[in-house]
Amino acid sequence: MTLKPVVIVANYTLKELLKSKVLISAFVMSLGIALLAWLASEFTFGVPARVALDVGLAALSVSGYGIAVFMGVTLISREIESRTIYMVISRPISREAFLIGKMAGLSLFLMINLAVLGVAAVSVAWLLGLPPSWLVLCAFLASILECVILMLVVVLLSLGANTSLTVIFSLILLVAGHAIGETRNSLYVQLRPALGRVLDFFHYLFPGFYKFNLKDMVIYELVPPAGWLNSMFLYGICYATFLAVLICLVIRKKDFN
Amino acid sequence: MLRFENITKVFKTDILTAPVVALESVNLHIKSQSMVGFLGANGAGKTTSMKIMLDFIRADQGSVVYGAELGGNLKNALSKIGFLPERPYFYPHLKGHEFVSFMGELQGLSKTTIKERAKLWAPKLRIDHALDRYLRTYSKGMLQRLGFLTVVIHEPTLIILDEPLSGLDPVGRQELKAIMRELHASGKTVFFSSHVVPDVEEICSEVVFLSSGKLAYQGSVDKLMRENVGQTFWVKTPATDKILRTPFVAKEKLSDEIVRWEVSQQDQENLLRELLDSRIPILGMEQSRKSLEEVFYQIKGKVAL
Repeated sequence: MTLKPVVIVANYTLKELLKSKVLISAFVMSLGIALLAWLASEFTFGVPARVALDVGLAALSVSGYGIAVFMGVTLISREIESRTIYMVISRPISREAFLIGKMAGLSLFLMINLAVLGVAAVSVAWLLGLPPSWLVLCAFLASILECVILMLVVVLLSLGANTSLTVIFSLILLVAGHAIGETRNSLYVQLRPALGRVLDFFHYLFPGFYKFNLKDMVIYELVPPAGWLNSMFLYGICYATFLAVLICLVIRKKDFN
Repeated sequence: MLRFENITKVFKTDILTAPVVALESVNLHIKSQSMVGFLGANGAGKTTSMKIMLDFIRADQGSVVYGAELGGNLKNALSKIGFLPERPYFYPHLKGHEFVSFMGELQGLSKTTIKERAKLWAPKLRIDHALDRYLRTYSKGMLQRLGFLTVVIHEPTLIILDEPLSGLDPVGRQELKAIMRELHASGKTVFFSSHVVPDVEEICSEVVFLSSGKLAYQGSVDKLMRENVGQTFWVKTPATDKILRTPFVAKEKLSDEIVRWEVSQQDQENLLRELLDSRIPILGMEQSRKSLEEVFYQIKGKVAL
Protein backbone atom coordinates (compact mmCIF):
# COMPACT_ATOMS: atom_id res chain seq x y z
CA MET A 1 0.00 0.00 0.00
CA THR A 2 1.48 3.34 -1.06
CA LEU A 3 1.01 6.56 0.87
CA LYS A 4 0.01 8.82 -2.04
CA PRO A 5 -3.59 7.54 -2.50
CA VAL A 6 -4.07 7.74 1.30
CA VAL A 7 -2.99 11.38 1.27
CA ILE A 8 -5.27 12.16 -1.72
CA VAL A 9 -8.33 10.59 -0.05
CA ALA A 10 -7.51 12.25 3.30
CA ASN A 11 -7.08 15.63 1.57
CA TYR A 12 -10.44 15.51 -0.23
CA THR A 13 -12.23 14.06 2.80
CA LEU A 14 -10.93 16.94 4.92
CA LYS A 15 -11.79 19.45 2.17
CA GLU A 16 -15.36 18.17 2.02
CA LEU A 17 -15.78 18.16 5.80
CA LEU A 18 -14.35 21.66 6.16
CA LYS A 19 -16.98 22.94 3.70
CA SER A 20 -19.80 21.24 5.59
CA LYS A 21 -21.69 23.08 8.27
CA VAL A 22 -20.11 21.10 11.10
CA LEU A 23 -17.15 23.45 11.39
CA ILE A 24 -19.47 26.45 11.62
CA SER A 25 -21.30 24.58 14.40
CA ALA A 26 -17.93 24.11 16.12
CA PHE A 27 -17.30 27.85 16.05
CA VAL A 28 -20.76 28.54 17.43
CA MET A 29 -20.24 25.83 20.04
CA SER A 30 -16.87 27.33 21.01
CA LEU A 31 -18.65 30.59 21.84
CA GLY A 32 -21.15 28.53 23.84
CA ILE A 33 -18.34 26.78 25.70
CA ALA A 34 -16.65 30.09 26.48
CA LEU A 35 -19.95 31.48 27.73
CA LEU A 36 -20.71 28.35 29.75
CA ALA A 37 -17.23 28.36 31.30
CA TRP A 38 -17.54 32.03 32.24
CA LEU A 39 -21.05 31.47 33.69
CA ALA A 40 -19.84 28.50 35.76
CA SER A 41 -16.99 30.60 37.11
CA GLU A 42 -19.46 33.31 38.16
CA PHE A 43 -21.36 30.80 40.29
CA THR A 44 -18.32 29.58 42.16
CA PHE A 45 -16.27 30.91 45.01
CA GLY A 46 -12.51 30.89 45.32
CA VAL A 47 -11.27 29.13 42.18
CA PRO A 48 -13.33 30.49 39.26
CA ALA A 49 -10.56 29.93 36.70
CA ARG A 50 -10.30 26.21 37.60
CA VAL A 51 -14.08 25.73 37.41
CA ALA A 52 -14.12 27.49 34.05
CA LEU A 53 -11.35 25.16 32.81
CA ASP A 54 -13.15 22.07 34.17
CA VAL A 55 -16.41 23.00 32.44
CA GLY A 56 -14.57 23.96 29.26
CA LEU A 57 -12.60 20.69 29.03
CA ALA A 58 -15.72 18.63 29.78
CA ALA A 59 -17.67 20.43 27.02
CA LEU A 60 -14.70 19.90 24.69
CA SER A 61 -14.77 16.14 25.34
CA VAL A 62 -18.52 15.88 24.81
CA SER A 63 -18.26 17.79 21.50
CA GLY A 64 -15.45 15.50 20.39
CA TYR A 65 -17.52 12.41 21.24
CA GLY A 66 -20.41 13.82 19.22
CA ILE A 67 -18.28 14.40 16.13
CA ALA A 68 -16.51 11.03 16.47
CA VAL A 69 -19.75 9.05 16.86
CA PHE A 70 -22.09 10.84 14.49
CA MET A 71 -19.62 11.49 11.70
CA GLY A 72 -17.78 8.19 12.14
CA VAL A 73 -20.98 6.17 11.83
CA THR A 74 -21.70 7.51 8.31
CA LEU A 75 -18.09 7.69 7.15
CA ILE A 76 -18.30 4.45 5.15
CA SER A 77 -22.01 3.59 5.16
CA ARG A 78 -22.89 6.86 3.40
CA GLU A 79 -20.27 6.13 0.75
CA ILE A 80 -21.83 2.73 0.09
CA GLU A 81 -25.42 4.01 0.09
CA SER A 82 -24.61 6.81 -2.33
CA ARG A 83 -22.44 4.48 -4.47
CA THR A 84 -19.61 7.02 -4.33
CA ILE A 85 -17.35 4.27 -3.01
CA TYR A 86 -17.67 2.50 -6.38
CA MET A 87 -16.28 5.56 -8.15
CA VAL A 88 -13.26 5.54 -5.83
CA ILE A 89 -12.38 1.87 -5.44
CA SER A 90 -12.80 1.20 -9.16
CA ARG A 91 -9.59 3.21 -9.46
CA PRO A 92 -6.07 2.01 -8.64
CA ILE A 93 -6.42 2.40 -4.88
CA SER A 94 -6.71 -0.44 -2.38
CA ARG A 95 -9.70 -0.64 -0.07
CA GLU A 96 -7.36 -0.27 2.90
CA ALA A 97 -5.78 2.90 1.49
CA PHE A 98 -9.22 4.36 0.85
CA LEU A 99 -10.40 3.59 4.36
CA ILE A 100 -7.25 4.84 6.07
CA GLY A 101 -7.48 8.01 3.97
CA LYS A 102 -11.10 8.54 5.01
CA MET A 103 -10.26 7.97 8.68
CA ALA A 104 -7.20 10.22 8.47
CA GLY A 105 -9.32 12.98 6.91
CA LEU A 106 -11.94 12.69 9.63
CA SER A 107 -9.25 12.57 12.34
CA LEU A 108 -7.72 15.81 11.02
CA PHE A 109 -11.16 17.39 10.97
CA LEU A 110 -11.71 16.20 14.53
CA MET A 111 -8.42 17.80 15.58
CA ILE A 112 -9.33 21.11 13.95
CA ASN A 113 -12.72 21.10 15.67
CA LEU A 114 -11.23 20.24 19.04
CA ALA A 115 -8.56 22.90 18.57
CA VAL A 116 -11.25 25.53 17.97
CA LEU A 117 -13.22 24.36 21.00
CA GLY A 118 -10.04 23.95 23.10
CA VAL A 119 -8.91 27.52 22.44
CA ALA A 120 -12.32 28.76 23.61
CA ALA A 121 -12.26 26.55 26.72
CA VAL A 122 -8.73 27.45 27.78
CA SER A 123 -8.82 31.17 26.93
CA VAL A 124 -11.65 31.86 29.42
CA ALA A 125 -9.63 30.15 32.16
CA TRP A 126 -6.54 32.16 31.18
CA LEU A 127 -8.52 35.39 31.16
CA LEU A 128 -9.69 34.53 34.67
CA GLY A 129 -6.08 34.24 35.78
CA LEU A 130 -5.11 30.57 35.38
CA PRO A 131 -1.43 30.35 34.46
CA PRO A 132 -0.54 28.42 31.27
CA SER A 133 0.35 24.79 31.97
CA TRP A 134 1.87 22.01 29.83
CA LEU A 135 -0.59 19.62 31.51
CA VAL A 136 -3.50 21.46 29.85
CA LEU A 137 -1.86 20.78 26.48
CA CYS A 138 -1.44 17.10 27.46
CA ALA A 139 -5.13 16.93 28.48
CA PHE A 140 -6.06 18.42 25.11
CA LEU A 141 -3.89 15.92 23.19
CA ALA A 142 -5.27 13.04 25.28
CA SER A 143 -8.77 14.20 24.42
CA ILE A 144 -7.92 14.14 20.70
CA LEU A 145 -6.45 10.64 21.01
CA GLU A 146 -9.53 9.46 22.90
CA CYS A 147 -11.86 10.85 20.22
CA VAL A 148 -9.80 9.27 17.42
CA ILE A 149 -10.02 5.87 19.18
CA LEU A 150 -13.76 6.34 19.64
CA MET A 151 -14.10 7.22 15.95
CA LEU A 152 -12.18 4.04 15.00
CA VAL A 153 -14.46 1.96 17.26
CA VAL A 154 -17.49 3.52 15.55
CA VAL A 155 -16.11 2.86 12.05
CA LEU A 156 -15.35 -0.77 12.98
CA LEU A 157 -18.83 -1.32 14.37
CA SER A 158 -20.46 0.43 11.39
CA LEU A 159 -18.94 -2.16 9.05
CA GLY A 160 -21.07 -4.85 10.64
CA ALA A 161 -24.10 -3.16 12.17
CA ASN A 162 -26.66 -0.56 11.17
CA THR A 163 -26.43 3.10 12.16
CA SER A 164 -28.63 2.94 15.28
CA LEU A 165 -26.94 -0.16 16.70
CA THR A 166 -23.51 1.28 15.98
CA VAL A 167 -24.32 4.47 17.89
CA ILE A 168 -25.79 2.53 20.82
CA PHE A 169 -22.87 0.06 21.07
CA SER A 170 -20.33 2.86 20.73
CA LEU A 171 -21.89 4.89 23.54
CA ILE A 172 -22.04 1.78 25.73
CA LEU A 173 -18.33 1.13 25.10
CA LEU A 174 -17.54 4.78 25.80
CA VAL A 175 -19.35 4.78 29.15
CA ALA A 176 -17.95 1.35 30.09
CA GLY A 177 -14.46 2.43 29.04
CA HIS A 178 -14.65 5.42 31.38
CA ALA A 179 -16.18 3.52 34.29
CA ILE A 180 -13.93 0.47 34.21
CA GLY A 181 -10.90 2.16 35.83
CA GLU A 182 -12.72 3.24 38.99
CA THR A 183 -14.83 0.07 39.07
CA ARG A 184 -11.76 -2.21 38.85
CA ASN A 185 -10.20 -0.46 41.83
CA SER A 186 -13.35 -0.46 43.95
CA LEU A 187 -13.42 -2.51 47.14
CA TYR A 188 -16.51 -4.39 45.92
CA VAL A 189 -14.59 -5.79 42.94
CA GLN A 190 -11.39 -6.39 44.90
CA LEU A 191 -13.35 -8.64 47.26
CA ARG A 192 -14.67 -10.65 44.27
CA PRO A 193 -11.69 -11.95 42.24
CA ALA A 194 -13.94 -13.63 39.62
CA LEU A 195 -15.63 -10.35 38.83
CA GLY A 196 -12.21 -8.72 38.78
CA ARG A 197 -11.06 -11.22 36.13
CA VAL A 198 -14.14 -10.45 33.98
CA LEU A 199 -13.39 -6.76 34.25
CA ASP A 200 -9.70 -7.39 33.44
CA PHE A 201 -10.78 -9.26 30.31
CA PHE A 202 -12.99 -6.34 29.32
CA HIS A 203 -10.19 -3.96 30.12
CA TYR A 204 -7.68 -5.72 27.86
CA LEU A 205 -10.10 -6.21 24.98
CA PHE A 206 -12.04 -2.95 24.88
CA PRO A 207 -10.64 0.57 24.97
CA GLY A 208 -9.88 1.97 28.40
CA PHE A 209 -11.10 5.50 27.78
CA TYR A 210 -10.58 6.44 31.43
CA LYS A 211 -6.83 6.52 30.80
CA PHE A 212 -7.24 9.65 28.67
CA ASN A 213 -9.05 11.63 31.34
CA LEU A 214 -6.52 14.13 32.67
CA LYS A 215 -9.07 16.64 33.87
CA ASP A 216 -8.62 15.89 37.59
CA MET A 217 -4.86 16.32 37.28
CA VAL A 218 -5.31 19.62 35.46
CA ILE A 219 -7.91 20.99 37.87
CA TYR A 220 -6.14 19.93 41.07
CA GLU A 221 -2.66 20.59 39.67
CA LEU A 222 -1.59 17.01 40.33
CA VAL A 223 1.71 15.91 38.91
CA PRO A 224 1.36 12.60 37.04
CA PRO A 225 3.73 9.79 38.10
CA ALA A 226 6.92 9.45 36.10
CA GLY A 227 6.30 7.75 32.75
CA TRP A 228 2.53 7.79 33.21
CA LEU A 229 1.90 10.25 30.37
CA ASN A 230 4.24 8.35 28.03
CA SER A 231 2.52 5.04 28.75
CA MET A 232 -0.90 6.67 28.27
CA PHE A 233 0.05 8.05 24.85
CA LEU A 234 1.75 4.77 23.90
CA TYR A 235 -1.38 2.83 24.91
CA GLY A 236 -3.54 5.20 22.84
CA ILE A 237 -1.35 4.97 19.74
CA CYS A 238 -1.08 1.16 20.01
CA TYR A 239 -4.83 0.75 20.51
CA ALA A 240 -5.61 3.08 17.58
CA THR A 241 -3.19 1.10 15.38
CA PHE A 242 -4.79 -2.19 16.52
CA LEU A 243 -8.24 -0.86 15.59
CA ALA A 244 -7.03 0.45 12.23
CA VAL A 245 -5.50 -2.95 11.39
CA LEU A 246 -8.72 -4.69 12.45
CA ILE A 247 -10.77 -2.35 10.26
CA CYS A 248 -8.46 -3.02 7.29
CA LEU A 249 -8.84 -6.78 7.76
CA VAL A 250 -12.64 -6.46 7.83
CA ILE A 251 -12.78 -4.15 4.81
CA ARG A 252 -10.57 -6.50 2.80
CA LYS A 253 -13.18 -9.26 3.09
CA LYS A 254 -16.28 -7.10 2.90
CA ASP A 255 -18.70 -7.21 -0.03
CA PHE A 256 -19.81 -3.73 -1.08
CA ASN A 257 -23.37 -4.53 -2.09
CA MET B 1 -10.06 -8.47 -22.80
CA LEU B 2 -12.17 -9.55 -19.80
CA ARG B 3 -13.72 -12.94 -19.20
CA PHE B 4 -16.12 -14.41 -16.67
CA GLU B 5 -15.40 -18.08 -16.10
CA ASN B 6 -18.25 -19.98 -14.55
CA ILE B 7 -19.20 -17.20 -12.14
CA THR B 8 -21.77 -18.01 -9.47
CA LYS B 9 -22.93 -15.60 -6.80
CA VAL B 10 -25.41 -16.38 -4.07
CA PHE B 11 -26.71 -13.76 -1.65
CA LYS B 12 -27.67 -14.91 1.81
CA THR B 13 -30.04 -12.31 3.18
CA ASP B 14 -30.86 -13.78 6.59
CA ILE B 15 -31.23 -17.18 8.19
CA LEU B 16 -35.02 -17.28 7.77
CA THR B 17 -35.12 -16.73 4.01
CA ALA B 18 -33.69 -18.90 1.27
CA PRO B 19 -30.47 -17.71 -0.39
CA VAL B 20 -30.90 -15.84 -3.66
CA VAL B 21 -28.91 -17.06 -6.64
CA ALA B 22 -27.93 -13.82 -8.37
CA LEU B 23 -25.64 -15.39 -10.96
CA GLU B 24 -25.44 -19.03 -11.98
CA SER B 25 -22.41 -20.36 -13.85
CA VAL B 26 -22.10 -17.31 -16.05
CA ASN B 27 -19.44 -17.32 -18.75
CA LEU B 28 -19.05 -14.13 -20.69
CA HIS B 29 -16.36 -12.47 -22.71
CA ILE B 30 -15.83 -8.80 -23.47
CA LYS B 31 -13.81 -8.60 -26.65
CA SER B 32 -11.28 -5.87 -27.18
CA GLN B 33 -12.55 -2.75 -29.00
CA SER B 34 -16.15 -3.92 -28.98
CA MET B 35 -19.27 -2.01 -27.98
CA VAL B 36 -21.28 -4.42 -25.89
CA GLY B 37 -24.77 -3.88 -24.55
CA PHE B 38 -25.53 -5.74 -21.35
CA LEU B 39 -29.21 -6.53 -21.29
CA GLY B 40 -31.52 -8.06 -18.78
CA ALA B 41 -34.63 -7.27 -16.82
CA ASN B 42 -34.39 -5.69 -13.36
CA GLY B 43 -32.84 -8.22 -11.01
CA ALA B 44 -31.32 -10.28 -13.82
CA GLY B 45 -27.83 -9.87 -12.33
CA LYS B 46 -26.34 -7.09 -14.46
CA THR B 47 -25.16 -4.87 -11.61
CA THR B 48 -23.96 -7.89 -9.63
CA SER B 49 -21.86 -8.94 -12.63
CA MET B 50 -20.32 -5.49 -12.89
CA LYS B 51 -19.56 -5.45 -9.17
CA ILE B 52 -17.78 -8.78 -9.52
CA MET B 53 -15.82 -7.51 -12.54
CA LEU B 54 -14.51 -4.65 -10.42
CA ASP B 55 -14.07 -6.69 -7.23
CA PHE B 56 -16.64 -4.76 -5.18
CA ILE B 57 -18.09 -8.16 -4.32
CA ARG B 58 -16.54 -11.59 -4.68
CA ALA B 59 -17.94 -14.51 -6.62
CA ASP B 60 -18.75 -17.69 -4.70
CA GLN B 61 -17.48 -19.77 -7.60
CA GLY B 62 -15.57 -19.09 -10.77
CA SER B 63 -13.10 -16.41 -11.66
CA VAL B 64 -12.67 -13.17 -13.57
CA VAL B 65 -9.82 -13.19 -16.08
CA TYR B 66 -8.30 -9.84 -17.03
CA GLY B 67 -6.62 -9.95 -20.42
CA ALA B 68 -3.21 -8.64 -21.41
CA GLU B 69 -4.77 -5.36 -22.61
CA LEU B 70 -5.84 -4.75 -19.00
CA GLY B 71 -2.49 -5.75 -17.56
CA GLY B 72 -3.37 -9.34 -16.67
CA ASN B 73 -4.65 -8.78 -13.15
CA LEU B 74 -7.14 -6.70 -11.19
CA LYS B 75 -4.57 -4.30 -9.77
CA ASN B 76 -3.28 -3.34 -13.22
CA ALA B 77 -6.74 -3.47 -14.75
CA LEU B 78 -8.13 -0.81 -12.42
CA SER B 79 -5.89 1.85 -13.93
CA LYS B 80 -7.21 0.94 -17.39
CA ILE B 81 -10.90 0.75 -16.55
CA GLY B 82 -13.35 3.61 -16.26
CA PHE B 83 -16.50 2.78 -14.33
CA LEU B 84 -19.70 4.72 -13.76
CA PRO B 85 -22.24 3.28 -11.30
CA GLU B 86 -25.98 3.63 -11.73
CA ARG B 87 -27.43 6.91 -10.42
CA PRO B 88 -24.21 8.12 -8.81
CA TYR B 89 -24.29 10.65 -6.00
CA PHE B 90 -21.08 12.43 -5.18
CA TYR B 91 -19.73 14.47 -2.27
CA PRO B 92 -22.23 17.34 -1.92
CA HIS B 93 -19.78 19.84 -0.43
CA LEU B 94 -17.21 19.52 -3.20
CA LYS B 95 -17.34 21.51 -6.43
CA GLY B 96 -17.51 19.79 -9.81
CA HIS B 97 -13.89 20.49 -10.73
CA GLU B 98 -12.71 19.36 -7.28
CA PHE B 99 -14.41 16.00 -7.72
CA VAL B 100 -12.87 15.62 -11.20
CA SER B 101 -9.45 16.43 -9.72
CA PHE B 102 -10.00 13.90 -6.93
CA MET B 103 -10.78 11.13 -9.40
CA GLY B 104 -7.94 12.15 -11.72
CA GLU B 105 -5.38 12.30 -8.93
CA LEU B 106 -6.37 8.79 -7.84
CA GLN B 107 -5.51 7.69 -11.38
CA GLY B 108 -2.07 9.23 -10.94
CA LEU B 109 -2.68 12.14 -13.33
CA SER B 110 -0.99 15.47 -12.82
CA LYS B 111 -3.10 18.55 -12.11
CA THR B 112 -2.20 20.00 -15.54
CA THR B 113 -3.33 16.84 -17.35
CA ILE B 114 -6.57 16.77 -15.39
CA LYS B 115 -7.27 20.40 -16.34
CA GLU B 116 -6.47 19.78 -20.01
CA ARG B 117 -8.66 16.70 -20.25
CA ALA B 118 -11.49 18.35 -18.33
CA LYS B 119 -11.29 21.27 -20.77
CA LEU B 120 -11.59 18.80 -23.63
CA TRP B 121 -14.42 16.65 -22.30
CA ALA B 122 -16.54 19.04 -20.22
CA PRO B 123 -17.93 20.98 -23.23
CA LYS B 124 -18.66 17.72 -25.07
CA LEU B 125 -20.60 16.53 -22.05
CA ARG B 126 -22.20 19.96 -21.62
CA ILE B 127 -21.07 20.22 -18.00
CA ASP B 128 -18.39 22.91 -18.39
CA HIS B 129 -20.76 25.62 -17.15
CA ALA B 130 -21.27 23.83 -13.82
CA LEU B 131 -17.74 22.75 -12.86
CA ASP B 132 -17.43 25.64 -10.39
CA ARG B 133 -20.70 24.80 -8.68
CA TYR B 134 -21.16 22.65 -5.59
CA LEU B 135 -22.31 19.11 -6.36
CA ARG B 136 -25.29 19.49 -4.04
CA THR B 137 -26.76 21.90 -6.59
CA TYR B 138 -26.44 19.42 -9.48
CA SER B 139 -29.44 17.71 -11.06
CA LYS B 140 -29.48 13.95 -11.65
CA GLY B 141 -28.54 14.42 -15.28
CA MET B 142 -25.69 16.76 -14.40
CA LEU B 143 -24.29 14.25 -11.91
CA GLN B 144 -24.46 11.64 -14.65
CA ARG B 145 -22.54 13.90 -17.05
CA LEU B 146 -19.93 14.75 -14.41
CA GLY B 147 -19.61 11.05 -13.59
CA PHE B 148 -18.99 10.34 -17.25
CA LEU B 149 -16.29 13.01 -17.30
CA THR B 150 -14.47 11.30 -14.44
CA VAL B 151 -14.78 7.98 -16.30
CA VAL B 152 -12.94 9.22 -19.38
CA ILE B 153 -10.47 11.56 -17.65
CA HIS B 154 -7.70 8.92 -17.56
CA GLU B 155 -8.39 7.63 -21.10
CA PRO B 156 -9.29 4.10 -20.04
CA THR B 157 -9.07 1.09 -22.35
CA LEU B 158 -12.29 -0.44 -21.05
CA ILE B 159 -15.30 1.66 -20.11
CA ILE B 160 -17.92 -0.03 -17.94
CA LEU B 161 -21.17 1.86 -17.43
CA ASP B 162 -24.12 0.79 -15.32
CA GLU B 163 -27.33 2.21 -16.81
CA PRO B 164 -25.54 5.31 -18.13
CA LEU B 165 -28.58 6.66 -19.93
CA SER B 166 -30.96 6.61 -17.00
CA GLY B 167 -31.73 10.03 -15.56
CA LEU B 168 -30.98 11.82 -18.83
CA ASP B 169 -33.47 13.71 -20.99
CA PRO B 170 -33.93 12.57 -24.63
CA VAL B 171 -31.40 15.10 -25.90
CA GLY B 172 -28.93 14.06 -23.23
CA ARG B 173 -29.40 10.41 -24.16
CA GLN B 174 -28.64 11.11 -27.80
CA GLU B 175 -25.56 13.15 -26.85
CA LEU B 176 -24.22 10.48 -24.55
CA LYS B 177 -24.86 7.77 -27.14
CA ALA B 178 -22.92 9.86 -29.67
CA ILE B 179 -20.03 10.17 -27.22
CA MET B 180 -20.08 6.43 -26.57
CA ARG B 181 -19.94 5.84 -30.33
CA GLU B 182 -17.04 8.29 -30.58
CA LEU B 183 -15.15 6.52 -27.80
CA HIS B 184 -15.76 3.17 -29.47
CA ALA B 185 -14.59 4.55 -32.82
CA SER B 186 -11.38 5.76 -31.14
CA GLY B 187 -10.57 2.18 -30.13
CA LYS B 188 -12.05 1.99 -26.63
CA THR B 189 -14.02 -1.00 -25.46
CA VAL B 190 -17.42 0.02 -24.12
CA PHE B 191 -19.53 -2.29 -21.99
CA PHE B 192 -22.76 -0.85 -20.68
CA SER B 193 -25.86 -2.21 -19.06
CA SER B 194 -29.35 -1.13 -19.87
CA HIS B 195 -32.86 -2.41 -19.67
CA VAL B 196 -33.87 -0.13 -22.52
CA VAL B 197 -33.37 -2.48 -25.46
CA PRO B 198 -33.74 0.07 -28.31
CA ASP B 199 -30.78 2.04 -26.89
CA VAL B 200 -28.61 -1.05 -27.10
CA GLU B 201 -29.91 -1.95 -30.56
CA GLU B 202 -29.10 1.54 -31.76
CA ILE B 203 -25.43 1.64 -30.83
CA CYS B 204 -24.15 -1.87 -30.11
CA SER B 205 -22.80 -4.49 -32.40
CA GLU B 206 -22.67 -7.07 -29.61
CA VAL B 207 -24.99 -7.95 -26.78
CA VAL B 208 -24.96 -10.03 -23.64
CA PHE B 209 -28.35 -11.14 -22.35
CA LEU B 210 -28.81 -12.16 -18.74
CA SER B 211 -32.04 -13.67 -17.60
CA SER B 212 -32.65 -14.64 -13.98
CA GLY B 213 -28.91 -14.84 -13.33
CA LYS B 214 -28.20 -17.05 -16.33
CA LEU B 215 -26.52 -16.16 -19.56
CA ALA B 216 -29.18 -16.27 -22.26
CA TYR B 217 -27.15 -15.02 -25.19
CA GLN B 218 -23.81 -13.51 -26.01
CA GLY B 219 -22.72 -12.49 -29.46
CA SER B 220 -23.40 -10.13 -32.29
CA VAL B 221 -26.78 -8.45 -32.69
CA ASP B 222 -27.00 -9.56 -36.34
CA LYS B 223 -26.39 -13.19 -35.46
CA LEU B 224 -28.96 -13.00 -32.71
CA MET B 225 -31.55 -11.62 -35.09
CA ARG B 226 -30.74 -14.25 -37.71
CA GLU B 227 -30.94 -17.08 -35.21
CA ASN B 228 -34.10 -15.99 -33.50
CA VAL B 229 -36.12 -14.36 -36.21
CA GLY B 230 -37.45 -16.63 -38.95
CA GLN B 231 -37.04 -14.49 -42.08
CA THR B 232 -40.48 -13.65 -43.39
CA PHE B 233 -41.81 -11.64 -46.28
CA TRP B 234 -44.77 -9.28 -46.38
CA VAL B 235 -46.91 -8.73 -49.49
CA LYS B 236 -49.72 -6.19 -49.62
CA THR B 237 -52.66 -6.83 -51.98
CA PRO B 238 -56.21 -5.56 -52.35
CA ALA B 239 -58.66 -7.42 -50.12
CA THR B 240 -59.72 -10.66 -51.82
CA ASP B 241 -61.86 -13.68 -51.02
CA LYS B 242 -59.65 -15.95 -53.03
CA ILE B 243 -58.13 -18.82 -51.10
CA LEU B 244 -54.41 -19.05 -51.80
CA ARG B 245 -52.57 -22.37 -52.05
CA THR B 246 -49.31 -20.95 -50.70
CA PRO B 247 -49.10 -21.49 -46.93
CA PHE B 248 -48.83 -18.16 -45.13
CA VAL B 249 -47.64 -17.33 -41.64
CA ALA B 250 -50.22 -14.61 -41.10
CA LYS B 251 -52.83 -12.61 -42.92
CA GLU B 252 -53.58 -9.17 -41.59
CA LYS B 253 -56.37 -6.84 -42.67
CA LEU B 254 -54.78 -3.39 -42.83
CA SER B 255 -58.01 -1.68 -43.97
CA ASP B 256 -61.26 -2.63 -45.71
CA GLU B 257 -59.42 -2.60 -49.04
CA ILE B 258 -55.94 -3.84 -48.22
CA VAL B 259 -54.62 -7.07 -46.70
CA ARG B 260 -51.07 -8.06 -45.82
CA TRP B 261 -49.81 -11.61 -46.30
CA GLU B 262 -46.82 -12.85 -44.35
CA VAL B 263 -45.01 -15.88 -45.78
CA SER B 264 -41.74 -17.59 -45.03
CA GLN B 265 -38.77 -16.82 -47.24
CA GLN B 266 -39.05 -20.24 -48.96
CA ASP B 267 -42.65 -19.56 -49.94
CA GLN B 268 -42.02 -16.01 -51.05
CA GLU B 269 -41.57 -16.94 -54.75
CA ASN B 270 -44.60 -19.27 -54.76
CA LEU B 271 -46.82 -16.54 -53.32
CA LEU B 272 -45.69 -13.96 -55.85
CA ARG B 273 -46.25 -16.41 -58.72
CA GLU B 274 -49.69 -17.36 -57.41
CA LEU B 275 -50.71 -13.72 -57.02
CA LEU B 276 -49.55 -12.92 -60.55
CA ASP B 277 -51.28 -16.03 -61.97
CA SER B 278 -54.48 -15.07 -60.15
CA ARG B 279 -54.16 -11.48 -61.44
CA ILE B 280 -54.26 -10.10 -57.92
CA PRO B 281 -52.35 -6.77 -57.94
CA ILE B 282 -49.30 -6.54 -55.70
CA LEU B 283 -49.47 -3.19 -53.88
CA GLY B 284 -46.20 -3.56 -52.00
CA MET B 285 -43.74 -6.01 -50.54
CA GLU B 286 -41.00 -5.92 -47.93
CA GLN B 287 -38.90 -8.15 -45.74
CA SER B 288 -40.21 -8.25 -42.19
CA ARG B 289 -37.83 -7.36 -39.34
CA LYS B 290 -38.38 -7.86 -35.65
CA SER B 291 -36.86 -5.44 -33.22
CA LEU B 292 -34.17 -6.52 -30.74
CA GLU B 293 -36.71 -5.88 -28.03
CA GLU B 294 -39.07 -8.50 -29.46
CA VAL B 295 -36.19 -10.96 -29.69
CA PHE B 296 -35.19 -10.10 -26.13
CA TYR B 297 -38.61 -11.09 -24.82
CA GLN B 298 -38.56 -14.18 -27.01
CA ILE B 299 -35.23 -15.30 -25.55
CA LYS B 300 -36.24 -14.32 -22.02
CA GLY B 301 -39.30 -16.51 -22.38
CA LYS B 302 -37.20 -19.46 -23.56
CA VAL B 303 -34.77 -19.15 -20.64
CA ALA B 304 -37.58 -18.80 -18.15
CA LEU B 305 -39.14 -22.00 -19.49
